Amino acid sequence: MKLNNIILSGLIASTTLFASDLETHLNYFGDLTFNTLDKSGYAYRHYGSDDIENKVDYSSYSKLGGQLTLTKDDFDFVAQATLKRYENHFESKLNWLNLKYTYENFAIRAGKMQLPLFLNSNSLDVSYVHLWAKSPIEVYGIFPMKSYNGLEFLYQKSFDNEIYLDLQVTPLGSIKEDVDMIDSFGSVEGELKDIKNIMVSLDVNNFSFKSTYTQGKINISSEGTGIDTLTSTLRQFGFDSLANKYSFENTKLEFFSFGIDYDNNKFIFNSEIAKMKSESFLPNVLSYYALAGYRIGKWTPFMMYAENKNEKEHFTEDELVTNSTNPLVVGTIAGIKAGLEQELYKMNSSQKTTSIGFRYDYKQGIALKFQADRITTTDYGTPSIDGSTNGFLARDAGGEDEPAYLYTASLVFAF
Amino acid sequence: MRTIVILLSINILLFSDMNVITSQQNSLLAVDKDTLSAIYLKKVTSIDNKHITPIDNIADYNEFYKKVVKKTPQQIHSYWMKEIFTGKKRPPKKVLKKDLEKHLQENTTAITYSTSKIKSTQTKVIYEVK
Repeated sequence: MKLNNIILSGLIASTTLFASDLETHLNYFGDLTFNTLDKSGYAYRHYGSDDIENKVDYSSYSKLGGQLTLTKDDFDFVAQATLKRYENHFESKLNWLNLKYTYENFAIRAGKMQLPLFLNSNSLDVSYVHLWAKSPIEVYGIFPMKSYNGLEFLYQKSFDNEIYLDLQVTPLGSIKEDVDMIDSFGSVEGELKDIKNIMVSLDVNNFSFKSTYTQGKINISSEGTGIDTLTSTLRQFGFDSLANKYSFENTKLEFFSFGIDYDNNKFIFNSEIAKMKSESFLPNVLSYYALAGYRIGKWTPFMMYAENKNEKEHFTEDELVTNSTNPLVVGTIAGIKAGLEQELYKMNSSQKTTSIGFRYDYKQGIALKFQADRITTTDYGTPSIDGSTNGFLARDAGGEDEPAYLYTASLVFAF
Repeated sequence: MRTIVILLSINILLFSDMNVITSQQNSLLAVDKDTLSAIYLKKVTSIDNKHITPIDNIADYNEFYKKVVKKTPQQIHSYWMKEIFTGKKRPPKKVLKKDLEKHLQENTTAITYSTSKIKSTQTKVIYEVK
């Protein structure tokens, strides 16, 4: 955090010093968002955000962001930071800090950038540019890490001024940061390295087709967690291959996403299907959303459906068996299996959300939004003994498995 | 007489054509509406390998985007906010009507638009917005 502040201060100081040589732009964005859940005993959770509970709170999704852009000839220097309240204190985060060089249709960018895992990942903080009041967590909540350090190549071309191609390639990149996992891990040190990404976008008339693929290797320190205890126990009983299967050491992660945007100035349609493939404790995930809206003057009512499906087979471990007839060994293995499956169960984030809402464009740069979500979770595998769940919508012990309603109202701006 | 003058003024305001102009030194002779829209959204940055620099005229901004790019000011603002905050592109420079000619003279790759005629032999019309 201190390093970020030093870099930002340096940038501001350099702007003052070289103001005569540089074209300087300061843009800012933010939102004041209020959320509440309709019932107690539940918590709506997102990486790096305070839980939303059965009380009106502004802290979970409200934020303030600023961006400084310095331009000289074909070079652009961008520094963007956000400030939000988290766990009873204000936390700043540097999202972008990079230098870009543009030559005709090509550009190369190096530094800190937002990871384009999904189609709107790199603009998710700027709520003003999206129709929804709250992004579909089913897709955008799959993975917690956001900004990476690396290199990007950008290319754009038009074909007969009818088809516009945007290509973005990341040949190398890495992230190392503390991640506040939404499950029982708590805050852990995470690293995603050897990041490679390709993103293609084609604009044709009112349609925009986008696709992105990312792969990388993840390391998460599970020391002192339940998973650490379980993998140690598995090794102790000779189940080394299973212990490796659930470890987070140099584990390959893959992300794929495809989406369509349509906007004819009246009717708006956005849809995306995303997949995360993991060879670790994380389950494979298939998720998607579809959003349709219609502009009526300054008003744009919309509805959205989103679903997150974790691979069901992930939550049972049939390989954990023993040939022993010794009741003590059989009992112990059965105990380890139950413990493992309960830990796996905590990773289940399968859920469906149906939303309705509206956006009101008050004036250029300022909009009001409202969204009501109906969320239902899908239980897989071996439920915890006390009936609690740990997905995006977490349920306290003894809670009933029934839909929860989440309401979001926000004032958003971007200039 | 006063009524006629007011009616004539309204007529001029309602039916005034907008011209897209550039420097006489620019080799670009004409441009079509779709290309113009792409230039102003910076989806196209050159024509025949010649760089194009779009400049916005503050006075005619809303009318130009409504007629050529077919977007409201709010939609255009949202488009540029997304481009800016993802560090990809920046919008065209916005210039006062009185400074347009100066910009066209200083930068021969620049194009702009105006509903009022610019009295200069140094500029040429490359598209008429109806």
